[in-house]
This record gives sequence, structure tokens and C-alpha cells, in this order.
Amino acid sequence: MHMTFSPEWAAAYLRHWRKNPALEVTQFLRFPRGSSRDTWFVSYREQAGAAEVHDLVFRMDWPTGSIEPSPLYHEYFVYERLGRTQLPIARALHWEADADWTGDAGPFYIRIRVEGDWEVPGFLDPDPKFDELRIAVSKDHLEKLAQVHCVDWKALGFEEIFPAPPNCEIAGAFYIDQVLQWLEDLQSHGYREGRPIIREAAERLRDAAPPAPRISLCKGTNGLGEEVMRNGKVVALSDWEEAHLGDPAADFAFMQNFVPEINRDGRNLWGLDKAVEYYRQVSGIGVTAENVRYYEKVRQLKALTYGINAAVSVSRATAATVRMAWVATEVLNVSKRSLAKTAGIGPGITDEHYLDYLQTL
Amino acid sequence: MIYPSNERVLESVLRAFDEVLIPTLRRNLNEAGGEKIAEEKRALSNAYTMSHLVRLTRNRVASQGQHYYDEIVLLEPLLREAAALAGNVGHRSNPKLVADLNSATNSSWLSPGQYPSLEITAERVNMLRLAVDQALAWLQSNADHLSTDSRYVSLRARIREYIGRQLADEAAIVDGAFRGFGLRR
Repeated sequence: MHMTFSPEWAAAYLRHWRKNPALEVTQFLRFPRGSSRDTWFVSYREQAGAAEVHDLVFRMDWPTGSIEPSPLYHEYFVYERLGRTQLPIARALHWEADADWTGDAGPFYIRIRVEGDWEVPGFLDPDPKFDELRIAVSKDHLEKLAQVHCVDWKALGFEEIFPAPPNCEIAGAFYIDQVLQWLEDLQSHGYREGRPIIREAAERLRDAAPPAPRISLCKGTNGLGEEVMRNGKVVALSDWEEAHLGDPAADFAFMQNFVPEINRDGRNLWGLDKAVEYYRQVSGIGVTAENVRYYEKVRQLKALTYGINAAVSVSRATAATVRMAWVATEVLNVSKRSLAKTAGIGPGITDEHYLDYLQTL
Repeated sequence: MIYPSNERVLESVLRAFDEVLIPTLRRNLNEAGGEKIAEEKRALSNAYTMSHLVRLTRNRVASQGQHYYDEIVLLEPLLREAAALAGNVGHRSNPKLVADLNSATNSSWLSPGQYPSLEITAERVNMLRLAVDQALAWLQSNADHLSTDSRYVSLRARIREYIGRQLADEAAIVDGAFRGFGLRR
């Protein structure tokens, strides 16, 4: 289907799905950002000239698979189940696995496209006049994250797709073992490579794992570039590819700028400690800065899943994208060095190097 | 065809990226409007990544053979030592591990007359790395009982030292291809 996914295909498919032969596709656009999965923006009207336009997102794996360790269906499942709650989320509408429509490209799913943008104008501008905006955005995001962490995941059936730690005491070690299992599974189809750094680091991380304040649904990846924003507010929590059940502190370990450290005239206006305090007030969940720092280290282990997944995909498929080859090389190497540092091996990555590494179009 | 070397050929490809393709695609993006922007952005993003990966390939061709060779020289005795320990700790000895480690270190990896290409050498290195990982798993599972054994302590330290060195070798190749060379994608 990746070869034939076109405006004509989209029109034919939507007419079939909506049971409306008069339906007209008004927009068909590939989302240029993101490496995890192939994303298309498709809009339609029920008939030519109709005022109302329906905006959709089509999500599918790349021809070589996703760089995420979890299957596409899990992502759909999360959107579908959370669409039943009050959380700001783009509701999932349909899972399509009919080979007549997917061809050999595998299933895809459709969700509503929520109007907004991943960017927040001014947020990254270091001018102090944007401090208030930064703090307001951070607080709004923490409020939404608190809602996620308070979701009744048992009632929503999340145990169908995610393993749940049996208790709070072992939540950290449970997560380490889960990540190790992902890493193992990724290589189970061949192209297994010896990476003793994983075992060396995992041993230390498991030994240092703190108890969790509660077991929550965790979003996995958060922050600038991960959510749909409008007027400085999160209007749709997005990018659930790494969702799991565990310590809510894990979510603070991947915040991509949304917990900025703001110091003015020797005074700390905002940062991790204040953000954790604010979150505790709005959520009632006793996340600690210590747990957050622990999960920042775990994050280095988790980050290897992208690179290893990409390395296996590029090795076994001739249709791999050039972006995936980058993930399989530089991203994987940077992840391993960062992980090694958490295990007390090597210098890791300097801040200057990291900023260089983050440069994208 | 001895000359030009692969390195020189790849450098001519890199110049084409840096001096022709990327500036042209950047201009196209600046001049694009509407839905064409996403298309132009994707083309430019691909070109940036391609130039980095050409540089990476050049560096691998130039340096990886020596890195692999050094790694083989370092790992074979280390694994023999791990096998010796695994076979000599009383009831905790692990004959299967001993056999696996000995098999990894002693296996012939080149057929008579076969050239040790980068790919074949890489497979050899990977076999040894997998064996290190297997040895490490056993060492960790016996840590409580062997932590005061000097052979155990020495092996754990040498494995950590090896990990650091291997990552540093890999980092030199990767950094020389990406770091300071502009946008990744």
C-alpha cells in the first residue's frame, strides 16, 4: 500500500468506509516530521461543496516496520480506550486490517485530526518575556499528565496489552525487565548483535530501582513535539507509542523542554523540583525528584530500542528509509554512550555534542 | 581499478551533496509555498541525512577493519579466561558455558584462501561479542557467590574496560561523520 497510497486510493477507501460514493477528498498530505511511523493527513467532505470538512490522520508502519518496540495495534488501542474518557485526545475511529485495502503493507488505523500545531510560538525563545508562557505551558501539560496518571487503566482494559507490575515495590525492576524483553524481542528475528553494555547497565539500574508511589498508565514520550497544542494549551495528547503501566515518574524522564529550568537574577522561577511539586498538588500522586532522576537513567536503556529496531529493520529490508539508517547508526551509538555513562563507563555525551545531535530541519 | 580509492570516490559524492544538492534543495524549500513545502522539506531532510551516511560509510571503510582486528585480539584471551573461571568454581561450574565460550574462541572463521573482508570480520567480532554477553550473564548471576574471587573481580573490570574501548572506537567513526556537520534530517 505504501507504493499505492495516493489521493485516489484515499478517496476510494473513504467512500467504501463511510459508505458514501459522493465523498470527496480535499487534502492528502504526508506528515514530514516523526520517525516512528508513517503518518498521513487526509481530509474529506461528504459531498462536493459541503461546508463541513472532516480531518483525519492515517497511521501505519513504515514498509520496514516501526522503530517503536510496540505494535501499531497498541497505539490504536490506547487512542480508542482513552477516547472514552475526558482526556484531551484525538479519538481513534477505525482499525483497518482488510488485505483488500491494506495490500501487503499491513494494517493501519484512522483517528480524528485535532486542529493545532506541535509548536508553541515563543516557547523556545530565551527572552525572559516568554518565561510566563513557558511556565503556563508547563503547568497545563502537567495537569493533563496528572489526568493520564489518574486514569482507571484496569477498568479501561489496559492489562490486555500492557503487563502490569504486581506491586509498587518492584515497579522499577519490572520496567527494566520489560525493556530488556523488548530489546530481546527486537532481535529475535535475526541480526542479533552482542551488546554487553546493555547487561552491564541493566544490572546497576535494577539494583537501584526505587518503589513507585502508584501504578499508573504512563504516556512514555511527552513535551514539545509530542502533543498537539493550541493557544499554549495541550488540546490532544499524542505519541503514545511508548505507553506502559508503571511509576508515573517515568513520564518526567521524557519531557522534551516542557519542564524548563528558568533561573533569573539568582532565583529559580521554574524547573524540575517546582514542576514535581505542582504535579503532586494537582494529581495527589507522590512522585519524587529522586524517582524522576532514576527514570532519566532508565530512559537511556529504553532509548536503545529505537536504534536496535532500526538496525534490524535496515539489515533485513531493502526498502528502509534513509532516516531509519540514521537511527540505526548515530542515534544507536549516542544511546549506547549515554547508557554507558549511567553505568560509570566512558564520558557519555557532552551538552555541546547533544545540542549538535538535536539539530534537525 | 586501484585508484581512486573508495574514500576518494565517496568524498566526491559528499562534495556533490554539500555544494550542489543541498543548496539547491534549500533554495527550493525557501521558494516553495502551500503543500509543496512539506515535499521540499522531506527532500532536503533526506539529502542532509544521506550526506551524513556517506561520510559514515567512508569512515567505516577507512577505520573499522583495524578496530575489528584489535577487538578480536582483545576478546579471544578474555573469553578463554572467562571459560577457565566458569569451569573451575566447584558446583557452580557451568560446563555448557565453558563449551560455548571455547567454541566461540576456537572456531575457525575463515575458509582456506578466503579474504577476511570487513563483513566476514564483523561476523567474527559479533560472535565474540555475543560470547562476552553470555559470559557476563553468568558472572552477574553468580555475583553474590563470586564477588570476593579475584578472578571474578578481574574479569568484570576487564569487560567494563572492553565496553568502554569498543564504544570509543565506534564513537570516533560516528562523530567523524555527524558531529559538527549540520542538520541530521
